[in-house]
Amino acid sequence: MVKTFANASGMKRLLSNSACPAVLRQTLPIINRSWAMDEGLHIEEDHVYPNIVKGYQRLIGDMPGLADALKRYFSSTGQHDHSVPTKVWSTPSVTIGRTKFSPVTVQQKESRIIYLDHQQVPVAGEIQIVFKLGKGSDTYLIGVRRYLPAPLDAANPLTAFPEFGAIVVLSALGDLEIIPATTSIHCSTSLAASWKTNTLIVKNTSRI
Amino acid sequence: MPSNEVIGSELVDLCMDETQQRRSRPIRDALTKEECRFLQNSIRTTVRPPSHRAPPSNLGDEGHGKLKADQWRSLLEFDVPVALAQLWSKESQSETVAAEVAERKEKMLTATMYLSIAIELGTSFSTSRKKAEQYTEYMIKYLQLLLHLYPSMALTANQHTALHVGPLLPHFGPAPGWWMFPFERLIGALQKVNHNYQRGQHSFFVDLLIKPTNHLPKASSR
Repeated sequence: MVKTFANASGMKRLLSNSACPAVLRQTLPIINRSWAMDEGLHIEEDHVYPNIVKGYQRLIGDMPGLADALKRYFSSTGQHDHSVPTKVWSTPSVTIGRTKFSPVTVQQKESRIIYLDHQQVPVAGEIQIVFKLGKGSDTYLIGVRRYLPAPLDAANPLTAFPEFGAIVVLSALGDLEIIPATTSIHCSTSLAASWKTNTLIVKNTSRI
Repeated sequence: MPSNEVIGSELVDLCMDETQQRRSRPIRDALTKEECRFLQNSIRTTVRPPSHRAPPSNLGDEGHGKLKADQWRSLLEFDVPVALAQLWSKESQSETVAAEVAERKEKMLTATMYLSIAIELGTSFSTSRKKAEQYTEYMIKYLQLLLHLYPSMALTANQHTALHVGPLLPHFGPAPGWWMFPFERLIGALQKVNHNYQRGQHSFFVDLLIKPTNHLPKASSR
């Protein structure tokens, strides 16, 4: 019953949070010892999507823009001498925290995300591929194409409420870019705006 | 002055009369049929993560059933504010709408937005003193605007209690750690236990623990 309660209330997540009072955080080791909950980053490899993940190998040339995106990624992380590999190990989904993310070809609902770009500005995008560079690598990367920003002069009734946190974007997608699978990626809820065609309202609803 | 007369009673009577008059003029702010269809269409076409339970797409019609807390939250977190912003904001309202009506609808939209922001801040999985202060600020703004829009409305106990949540956040941490939803789920599970109306024959808690694991010997029928 305690386990059910803890799972339901997200107790471990609460205790891991820096905002949680220190007195309560001291109980975290006891909970960790009592049972291991399904937390952290892991890959669910039991899903079968043969057309996408057969052997988990995918040639980089099969996905337009992936080689260039990897070059930009290595450059931005200071790995200038890292040569672009010829293949990556793709996977149908990655779970970060308790949230599952998948490429748009697998599950559209799990593919729309909000993440921080290199200037720490929240941007909305769509996951195209989830992969790791080496079969034994622990780092999962996400290939994402961000939604292009809506023109500033476009009528937007949500601008009066910046605290609401909705982002208004065009439904057109930009170039592929690579981001590491970290907790700064959030799932989002999105809706086509009625005031202009090809415009989306996207909001972070990951409850973090 | 007669001894049984209360000083200022005429003012009290005047206030009571005004209140009675206000109460006798009910304010109709329900969504129109077209607005309701717009909201339903928005709910239907929204792409939301699988963990978010969508509100019923026939919301507002008869027979959509009782909404779960999660559905109310989804509604107030995204669906209702976004739909109303597209219907009632200054930019969206047509020029044929009377200025008074347009202004009122805009205020109603603002109140909805305040409530949505307050709920998001209050139920977040992370919190801070700043978030707690912002929560209280938006909840007060929402209630003030509500009283401005509906002067005859009496605030409920829940609306009063909502103002106590802000000061508790820095003390107890994020609300999901101490809210009552886990107990609600437990009560839901207990209500589903088959007891054949024979109370006291069995422990509901033992049933709950044994049924999922099924590793303990079953009770003998003797």
